[in-house]
Amino acid sequence: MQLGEIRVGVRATTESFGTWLDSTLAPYLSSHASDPHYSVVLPEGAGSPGRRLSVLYKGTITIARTFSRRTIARVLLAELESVGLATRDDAIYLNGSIARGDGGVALIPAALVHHITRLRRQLERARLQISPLLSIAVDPSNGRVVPVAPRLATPPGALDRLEDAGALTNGSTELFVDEPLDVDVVCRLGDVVGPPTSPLSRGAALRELAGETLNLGTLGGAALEGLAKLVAGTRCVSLGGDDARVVIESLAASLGTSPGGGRA
Amino acid sequence: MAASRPRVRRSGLTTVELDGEAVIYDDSSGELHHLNPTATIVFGLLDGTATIRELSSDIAKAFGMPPEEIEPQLRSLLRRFRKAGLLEPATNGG
Repeated sequence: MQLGEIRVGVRATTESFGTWLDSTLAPYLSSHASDPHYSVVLPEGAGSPGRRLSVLYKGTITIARTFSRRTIARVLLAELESVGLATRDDAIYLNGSIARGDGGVALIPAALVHHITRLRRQLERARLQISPLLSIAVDPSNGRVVPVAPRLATPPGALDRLEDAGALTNGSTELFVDEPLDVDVVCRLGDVVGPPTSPLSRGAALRELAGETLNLGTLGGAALEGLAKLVAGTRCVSLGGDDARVVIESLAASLGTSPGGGRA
Repeated sequence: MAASRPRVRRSGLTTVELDGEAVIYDDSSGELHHLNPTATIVFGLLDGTATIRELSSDIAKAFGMPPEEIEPQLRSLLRRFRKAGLLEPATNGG
């Protein structure tokens, strides 16, 4: 398909999903062949729950793994939407995702998402929800995380027309930004050999978030000022270690959530 | 030769300060800079009105240290600011 100047290939393993994709993104279909940039691997028919997982790949990297086709489709549309974020000026767009626990909302690095969402049960025990989205929007006027305003022209209710295997999931680890959110904690990646959690100055957190901003060149200093509004009211922590279990525990602790209990 | 009076660039820089630390975005290079609290204080003093010796004296008084200890550190920091493109070009004395 052709998204502005950029040609993107999407491959799906089932005919039904391919048909849905063709009808949903009809204005962008291109007759030019393109190597698959995204691959949607879906289960056919009935099978054991483990074999009903749908997986979205970007190249060889797993972007999302879920029992819900609706989630896979939503993440795919968000990924395709992200192609144009660098030149938009209606919000601050950055590589990152959102985690929600009992104690609030954390902004987390996009690189953490796949690393920790593989451990569904551990996330459920920690009562953490992780958004599968890998880019988020921030309102520069108040620093709140807001839904990405769609620019792709898709038919109304397109997701509702998707045959969904969502009945198998309780959806507890999946989170989307459907309304403005205040961020309570900003988490950045720490040293893999460092302590599980260490405090991070707000200045350092701001520098790192600005470095992850997709449209920094478009917005310039206004992006920095908007991100400062986000960071100013938050606690900032650096999550160390490369063991996903430890990262989940550290994230839960940062959000004031303790496994199996209330706020720590 | 007149003494240098370092001055922060007047255009193309966006500076945000959080808890005493500055984060700077340079429009012309697209680069980001993060200053620790001490560097942030110095950065805020560079308005082109004071020589390096005068700045050293002021900072020394504020931190209760001898000016001769401050001046080499200040010069080193100014070199880093200049290399990062954060200062107006030196017009006299360097």
